This record gives sequence, C-alpha cells and structure tokens, in this order.
Amino acid sequence: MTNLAKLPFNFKRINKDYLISNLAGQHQFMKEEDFIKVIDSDFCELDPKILASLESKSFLTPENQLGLREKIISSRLATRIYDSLSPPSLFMVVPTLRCDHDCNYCQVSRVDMDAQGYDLDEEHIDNIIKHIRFLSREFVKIEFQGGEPLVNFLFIKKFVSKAKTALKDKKLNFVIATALGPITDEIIKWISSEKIHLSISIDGIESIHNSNRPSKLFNSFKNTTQIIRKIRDSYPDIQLSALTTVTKLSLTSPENVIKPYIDLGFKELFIRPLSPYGFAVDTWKKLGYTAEEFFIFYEKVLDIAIDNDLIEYSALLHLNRIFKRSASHVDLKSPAGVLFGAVCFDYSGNIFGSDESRMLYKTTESKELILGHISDSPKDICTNENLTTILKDTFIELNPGCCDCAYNQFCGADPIYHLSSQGDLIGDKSKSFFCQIEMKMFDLIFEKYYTNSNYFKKFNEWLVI
Amino acid sequence: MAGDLIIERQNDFSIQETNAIDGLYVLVSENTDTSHYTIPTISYVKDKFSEMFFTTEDDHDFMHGDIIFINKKRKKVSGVLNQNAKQNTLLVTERCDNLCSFCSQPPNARDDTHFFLYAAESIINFRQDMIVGITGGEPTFDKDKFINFLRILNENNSETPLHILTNGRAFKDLDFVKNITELNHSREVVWGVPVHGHNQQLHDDCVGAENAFIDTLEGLVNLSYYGQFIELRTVVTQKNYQYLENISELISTSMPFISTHAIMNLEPKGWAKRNFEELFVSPEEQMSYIEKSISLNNLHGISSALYNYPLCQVDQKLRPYYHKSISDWKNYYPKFCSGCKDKSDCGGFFTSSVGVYLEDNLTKGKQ
Repeated sequence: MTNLAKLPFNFKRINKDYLISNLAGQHQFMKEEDFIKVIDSDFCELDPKILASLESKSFLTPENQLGLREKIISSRLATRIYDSLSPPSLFMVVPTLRCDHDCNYCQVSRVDMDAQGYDLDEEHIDNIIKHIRFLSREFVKIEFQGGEPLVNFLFIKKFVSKAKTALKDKKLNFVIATALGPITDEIIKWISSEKIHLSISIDGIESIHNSNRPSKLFNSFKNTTQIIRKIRDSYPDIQLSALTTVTKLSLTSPENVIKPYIDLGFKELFIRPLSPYGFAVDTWKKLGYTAEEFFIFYEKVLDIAIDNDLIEYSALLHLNRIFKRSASHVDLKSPAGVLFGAVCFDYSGNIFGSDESRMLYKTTESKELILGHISDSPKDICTNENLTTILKDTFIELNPGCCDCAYNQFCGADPIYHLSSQGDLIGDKSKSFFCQIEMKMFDLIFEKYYTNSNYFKKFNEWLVI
Repeated sequence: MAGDLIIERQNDFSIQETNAIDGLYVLVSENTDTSHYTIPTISYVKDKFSEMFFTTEDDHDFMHGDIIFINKKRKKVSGVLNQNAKQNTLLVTERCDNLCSFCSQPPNARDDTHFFLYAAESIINFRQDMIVGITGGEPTFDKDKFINFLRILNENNSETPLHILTNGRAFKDLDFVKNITELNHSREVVWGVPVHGHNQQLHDDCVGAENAFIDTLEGLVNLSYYGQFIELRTVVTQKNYQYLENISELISTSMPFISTHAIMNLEPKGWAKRNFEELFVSPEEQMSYIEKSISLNNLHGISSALYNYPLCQVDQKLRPYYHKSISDWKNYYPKFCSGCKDKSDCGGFFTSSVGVYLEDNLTKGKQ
C-alpha cells in the first residue's frame, strides 16, 4: 500500500473534541487524541474504523490518488456553489407596510394602520407575476409579508387568483405571514379553500408574547391562541407554522417560551435570534443579548423540544445543510442567497434580493440594495450591477475569518447583515453577531449529535422526515 | 436436486421440428407485415404463411414480437428479448478488464464481436419501450465496438431505454464520455457501476485489478459532468461487509450525484460458486452493517436498494428498500417457501444456489 497523505482540512475544537471538515463538505468528529494522531501523521495508530472514514471522506489519501482526490473535491465544491446559484423559488410580496401590532423589535419598520402610501398597488400584480415566471423554475413559493399583509386582503385575494391562472404550469404554494389580527371567518374559509399556508408568531406565554408583540388594538396572545384553536377545530386542513423571535425577556424563561407550542399541539417550532434591522437597531440595548446568553437559552429550549417530540426548525435547517447540503435556507448559502435565495417585491414597487435588503433599505435608503423596479423588464434584474456588487464577495472560502473556519462549507455569507451591522459587505467576523451565533449553533449541533445518543437519534429522525 | 426446482419462467425450450438455421429471429404470428424487420421472422406453427417455423411441446410464454435464438444442434430455442419477462438482459461481450472473484459471468478473451451484433439486432427489432439490460464482460472493454453498437442503434432509430452494467473504468476518458452521451441523446440510459470498497486496496482486491478504484471513481465523476443516471452497486462479501458504512461515506463525498446505491447479495454462480467459502457471508451477519450504510445514505439524501436477498432474511425495518430483483429465469422457491404468505413479494433464491448454500444456511430462513 502506498503511503497516506493528508488533504487540506479546517478544524475546530468543540469542548474536548475536534471537528474537521474539508471542501468536499465532509466532516469528522473526533477525540483529541485521534486528532493529534492525524496532525502528527501517525495514521497506523488510529482505530481502523476512523482511518477508513477519513479515507472515505477524502481527509486522507494514498499518495498515488492526489489527482483523483483533487477532482472529487473540486467537483463537490463546484456543486455547492452551483446549488447556491440555482434560480429562486421563494418570492415575497409586501402588500402593505401597515400593521396592527407594535412590536419593539419590528425589523421591517412597520407603519400605523391609518398611514397613507404604504400599500402595494393592485396594478403591479401582473408585472410581479411576470417577474416570478421569468425568474423561477418548477417550484414557486409566494409569501405575503408585511406589515400585516391581511390588512390589504383584497390585494392578496386578487394576486392569488391571478397567479393560479398565470403560473398554473408551476408547482405553486402560498404562505401568508400574519399576526392574525385582521383575520375574519370569511378570510379563514378562503385560506382553507385556496390551500394557503399560514406562518404566524408566538413568542411565548402571554406575558412574554404581549411584551414582545404588543398591539394597541387587542391582546395579541389571546387573539393569536383563540384563532389557532378555531382553525384547528374548524379547518384542520390549514397548515400552520409558528416562529419565535427571542428577546432578552424570553431568555429568562425557556419553559415559558415553549409552553404555548406544547399547549397548542404544535409539532414543530422555529427559534430565531433577533436581527439588527428596523426598530431592533434602536431597541437592541433593551431587547438584545450576547451570543453566549442566547445559547444558554437555546440549549434549554432544544432539550425541552426534544423531550416533547417537537422539531426545532432552526436546528433542522442546519442539519440539512450539514448532511444533505441543502441550499434552501437563505442565511446558509455561499454565494449568498441574495436574489438566488429569495426575491422581495416591496410595497413601494422596488425589488430586493432578500427580505433583509428591504428592511435595511427602509432605514438607510441605500439605493445599492435595490435590484430593480416592478415595472422593469424581468431580464434587467439578473444583470443589475448592484446584484453583482453584493454577491461578488460572498464566496465564503475566500472571506477573511471564514476561509479557515471548519464550518465554512455549511455556513453562509450574509452580506446584507454585515452591511447593516458593520457598513461593509464582508465585515469583521470577529465582531459579527451573525458569525458568533452560527459558530455556536454548529458547535452545539455537532456536539449534541456526536456525544448525546438521544440527540443523535432525534436528529436522524428529523433528517429523514 | 433438479426435481426440486420450480423456475418461474422457463427461458429455454426444446424444439421438436424446425426448418430454420441457427440464429436470431423475430417471432411472429400469422398474417403480419414483416417488412420492417431487419432479421428473419419465424412462427411456431407450421402453415402456409410462414416460410420458417418451429414446433415445441413445452409450455412457453413467447409472444408475437419477441426475439428468440434457434440452436438446431442443441434442439433449443432461447428467449432473447421477451415481453413477458420482468427484465431482459443482453450479453454484449465476455471480455473484461476486471477479474472479480465473485463474477457470475467469468470473462473470456476470445473475439466475440458477434455478441454486439446480436444485441444490436435484437434491440432494433424488439420495438418495445421496455428497458433492456446490457451486460458483459465489460461492455466498454473495446470502446470502438461500444460506440459502434450505439451508432447502429441510432441509425435504426432505436430509442429503447438501456440499463448498462459497466465497471466504469473506460469513463476516465472524458472524450469517450462526451462521445457516448452525445450518441445517447435520444435514449434513456442508466449506468450500473460497481464500487465494492471504500478505498483502493479493498476495491482493487475485490475486482482483482490494479487501479480499478481510481479509474472507476474518476469515471463516475466524469459521468456526473454529463448528468448521467448512475446506479451504484456493491456486492457484499466477506471482504467488504464490514466496510459498507465507509462505502456510504465515500458515496456522499465523491458521488452524491448517483441515483441509487444498490446493495447486492452474492449470486452463487460462475467464480462466486468456486470461491464461495471465502466470499459468502450470511445475510444475517450482513444486516447490521447494511442498516448503518442505508441510514447514512438516508442522512445524505441518497436512495438505497437491496437486491438478490430472500425477503425472509431481510430485517423488517430494511424491507422498504427490498427489491424483488432476481431475474425470473434464474430464481426459484425452495419447498419450505410454499406456505409463506410473503412469497409474492419475495424474489426467492438463485437457482444456482441449489446445493451451494441452501441446505447449510437457509433452513434458518424457514419461518
């Protein structure tokens, strides 16, 4: 047998263990003593099972196979990049920026219910559909965002009807991201008959939820839970998924954040840290926290979720990225998910390459974030100079702070986040909250998966559902 | 022992009488227009319409349009492509650059160009949408012959989908891959490519050829450049069963583009029969390793299939991956299967396993 040689890899210490990863997107979790044997090239000292894994995953290779391994690794890397650049399937439409809630962390900088000039005009519908047709492939998910999109329900109704005709050759799905304020029996009935998915927010028990998501018009928690129960009882076919935004207040009580999910019989939850957009920039001191504080909380939530057979979606997105190389989560893409992850048609008629872009534009009015206008020709969006400017530095293995990171094949470059928080598309990763959160998330997931048999079992179940 | 055999579909029949010479024929019923066929036609009833005929007293399931081969000396008629078969397979060469210790069709170095010709003629005249399997030897052993074969099919406007079993070594030549994918432009092709080891040492040892691992892996990556459908095949033996998990790791690293990973039980035929003692590992012993391999494949979003296993020897939780895969002309059910409620879902045993491992190992399967 020819001698074994090491191929390039990055590594990260996770407590007492090590994770190594390579550009083929493979990883190996190992004990420190084994890691040292690899570093020292004491390969014969390694357990034969570990040695077999390291060779299978192209961490080690017989010296006569360097050409082959180069081909394998570059092919995997190219595939990852290619997958990230496949046409978008998520299209967000903002029918209005008006909202009946007054959330302290509102990232879209919503406006009052009686504000003028914040609704998307119905005359744009045909043009938006034209853009979607041009930019998409087979699968199209259209998500109505706000403000509170149901405030402009007539727009949604008209849009859905037109899209179902104009895009009938595509696999079409609709989602309304709503806080359920303006929902009526009639609207619920329509949602059910049109098979529309609802994405709602539940931040915790009443005291937490209403503190995070106050409304001047009603008790948000009571309203949300009442309507969920009504939908569950009368329209069990309506798909409901819920999102939790975590504030400093939430951190104090993981049990109370997850309680409504268990009470209401949810099968999954989606825990999301705060992002510095919109009002959250100003309220960060009051609502924000460090990545360490978030993860003390998140680890407890995950434990409770696992104990109660709930799937935590944020962890699942990371697991899918690690094991299946999924490029479907906008934040975990490199090149970044701008335009290729999602397209956002704003109430103003501007087109953005992500939800965050329109959030940032609202507070900064940086024209560089705009990729076009709804009335432009769809072709022009793809060749827009702003798009190449935003994307060109998002090849993660070239970014300082990312190039030697063991998680770079699983993580994403988020230029809009770093533009927002540091005024730079790449940013200094050592100061980046995004980077701190992602690093800890990957640490936690790898550690749980490989050192806790219960987590190993649950995560595997989640991954094959 | 032979009296014990119950073969699902007889593939050879005895000829009583014929006026045909040896060769390939399209079987036709009377009064059919035969002008579009490029090989002679034959009927199995002697009458005024048929210039050529044969008679047989055996029960058979040949149909109009089937391709058959007449061997007068042996007084046999063999089905070549049969519409009643669950799968049809054509041998195109006996030559091979691998020497697998478990080869069920051991290679032969003699000139065998006529196999390619028979195969091409058979496919051209079969005119069915059914997928046809191509096997060897190594079909791409002589690249020019293989290219020529595809050209002949194209010149005769054949679009019959093909499942081609190849060791993939020839595909390390990227120009060759480009060439054949162009020739297969209007034809669906699935490549069945074997990987029996997670590394060169093990794979090369299994296939008895130096550098086979490097060639095959490079070939697979080249096939992926052209978006080809690939079914990866692993034959489980004593040599590799403990490394199935690592083969799954290799797949997710090097060839996540494959459409299926087929894990295959040994077919006790050819050299596998000769080397049975050192190769065979009971399905029972294989199961825990197969389970690990399949769960890794699932984790990576790669689909798995189990071929050539008797159903009763496959763990309950692995049955979703089970395929009733033993060709219907080479499978049979031992007597103890007669009362089994799952028989209709089961591929049974290879007829060739009679006397090899049945008595010793399979009474365990009796449940």
